[in-house]
Amino acid sequence: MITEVSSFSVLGLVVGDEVFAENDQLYIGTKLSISIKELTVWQSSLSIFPIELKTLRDNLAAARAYINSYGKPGGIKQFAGSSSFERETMRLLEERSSGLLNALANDSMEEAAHYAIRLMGLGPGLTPSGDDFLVGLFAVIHLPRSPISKYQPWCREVVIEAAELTNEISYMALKKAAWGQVRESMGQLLHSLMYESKETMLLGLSAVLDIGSSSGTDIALGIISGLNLNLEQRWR
Amino acid sequence: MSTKIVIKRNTYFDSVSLMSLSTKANQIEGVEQAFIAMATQMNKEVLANVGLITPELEEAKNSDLMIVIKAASPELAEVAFEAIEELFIKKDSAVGGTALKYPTIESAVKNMTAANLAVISVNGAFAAREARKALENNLHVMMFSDNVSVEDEIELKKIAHERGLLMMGPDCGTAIIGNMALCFANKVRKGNIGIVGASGTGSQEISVRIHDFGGGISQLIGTGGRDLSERVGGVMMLDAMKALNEDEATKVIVLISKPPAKSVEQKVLNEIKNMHKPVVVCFIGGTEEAVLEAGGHFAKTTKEAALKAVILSGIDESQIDKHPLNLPLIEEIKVKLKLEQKYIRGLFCGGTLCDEAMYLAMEKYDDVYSNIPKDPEYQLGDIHISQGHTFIDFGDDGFTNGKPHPMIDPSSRIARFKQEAKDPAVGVIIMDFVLGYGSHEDPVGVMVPAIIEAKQAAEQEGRHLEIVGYVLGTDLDTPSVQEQLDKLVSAGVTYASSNTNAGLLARGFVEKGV
Repeated sequence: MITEVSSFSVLGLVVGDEVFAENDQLYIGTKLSISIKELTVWQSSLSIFPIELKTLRDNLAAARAYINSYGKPGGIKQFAGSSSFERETMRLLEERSSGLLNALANDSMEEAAHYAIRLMGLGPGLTPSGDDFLVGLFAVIHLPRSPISKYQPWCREVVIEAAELTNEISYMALKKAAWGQVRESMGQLLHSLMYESKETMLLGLSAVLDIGSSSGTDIALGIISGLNLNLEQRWR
Repeated sequence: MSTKIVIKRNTYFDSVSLMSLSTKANQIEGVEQAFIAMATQMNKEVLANVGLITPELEEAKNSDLMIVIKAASPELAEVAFEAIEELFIKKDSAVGGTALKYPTIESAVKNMTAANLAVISVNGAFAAREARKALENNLHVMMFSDNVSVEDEIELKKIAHERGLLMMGPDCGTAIIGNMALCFANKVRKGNIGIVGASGTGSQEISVRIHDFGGGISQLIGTGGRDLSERVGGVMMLDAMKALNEDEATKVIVLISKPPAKSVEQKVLNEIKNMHKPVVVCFIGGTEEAVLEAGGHFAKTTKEAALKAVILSGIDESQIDKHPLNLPLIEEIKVKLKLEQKYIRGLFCGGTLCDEAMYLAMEKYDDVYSNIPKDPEYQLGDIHISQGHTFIDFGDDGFTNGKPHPMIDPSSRIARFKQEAKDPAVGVIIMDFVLGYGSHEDPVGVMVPAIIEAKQAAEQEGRHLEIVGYVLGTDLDTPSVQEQLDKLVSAGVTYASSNTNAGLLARGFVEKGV
């Protein structure tokens, strides 16, 4: 459901209100009913990986610089860290995300699974940073004609483990991403990275960085890492 | 050391709330470390790696929220936990207000026909586009965003000038329009003094001093820090001066800025000649002659500017408490400091506050270094390491890249304070604490534990560590100045009544052999 209201509190909705469906209506307590009779199911669609790569290369460099300046640290993006918990979390995220990317670059799928599984549920936030990074990476793997699209079955295999490793909300995002279903802003960012001007791309990137607290930054870094892998694979 | 662990079963909070709660929990007094995270297997592994895992945590599930508090004693851990619980309760009960949100400027204009000003606070890459839309819809603009190109700034100010609108910013953090404080502005009395400021904290300081001296503000118009540069040419300051000259509620005008480009300074001073109201000019580090020649009233410091404006506005000088400098205190502290304790370390959130204290120190000392020096020769080689007398503006890019402004998130300054306090060559540390609508809710409170610890450590080493604190705010702000001052006093800090006095006290404390 997409809504433009800034807060549900103006509708009087509060945590704990009963949500139920009845007669093609979705009810939230006695405060809100939404007709779901003529709804169409939205599916994300990802753009085709391009043949001409100059735009992608230029935009990737600009996106990296932008994240360096505006991305939120604390997850995959590192900062000094004020507690031992933060420092250890970031150390593990760095070790495992790099390990995963190296393993994929070498087609070592078992090793890649080892690292991916150890990223699941790792990090701060409701959707832990490790999960967010994987969601970004999975999205790139599902770009049509992506040089790394051969890893799609691998995504579905490893995500089975996620059910036991992270919370239900984050698991659903991972599970969907493992089948190439991601939120609209991610699809738009992927498209703009591959085909659009730098200004348009930064608009898309900014929208993704706005997701959650550090989640958007972690997702964007997953996307960038995946696209880098694509560029490397093409030149083998 | 005691560790308290609480598991909240099946508890979900959005990521922004979780991070914010975690940051606040770490600032609670007595807490060495606190973290709040989902109890996933991998997060539990992190806890195991840092030696904090317990059987209770091992049992927690992915959908549980874990709160881990490490404190000096079980009592402190318990107190901290109660404080965290309060934060959760506040979060739960924080039912939104009635403010309406519109997704675009066009829809806001359509639905709010009485609105005449837009505050733009989007990412710098898109700010110019949004400001253009606002101007085209005949809205004045206050642009809080920075990282906007100078070309865009020039173009936007040209559009605004042609339409008779204000284009405040980019990087404009303070304005008071029609008695409405915007962004970082303070709550001050309504009055007949208008301020035009190319400096956010400088404008705040003058408005607050005017309030303290019994005066009030008609309008405070921010221009953005680059307005008085050669390229932008002071378009906004000149337009604002003309607007205040026509404004019936304004009797006296104050201009505040860092030193402008020479040609622009001349344009601004020329404009004074056309004005029929008294104009007080405070360009930090500027000279008196040109201002007097233009018919303006020169002020070397922010305090002097506020005082002159208040007297010119009609307030009886004999009724004003001018807070004279405490000279006996200077002598008292000088005696307490050892010969080798000869340096000032200024740790500021406000750029102009930093500049003002630095210029006062430069009048007495040669080796004054900064991350924002007037002379590039005195640029710190490494902004994280002090040399000689050092004045740091923590709001400058080197410290804010990818992080919130120190007026919102004070963590970088706390870490630097601890570093400076250990230096045996340091005699005095001077800090500003800025109150205002967008600022941290308790800037003194978050610094107090570090201050107490540092003073105790210095005492054990047999040296006196002098700390001067200045709270920029009014009795109408939340928290109030008095509440913040009480905390400073209880931590053994010498508080100054103005930023000017803070700078003068600090430079006096470390003066040797006089």
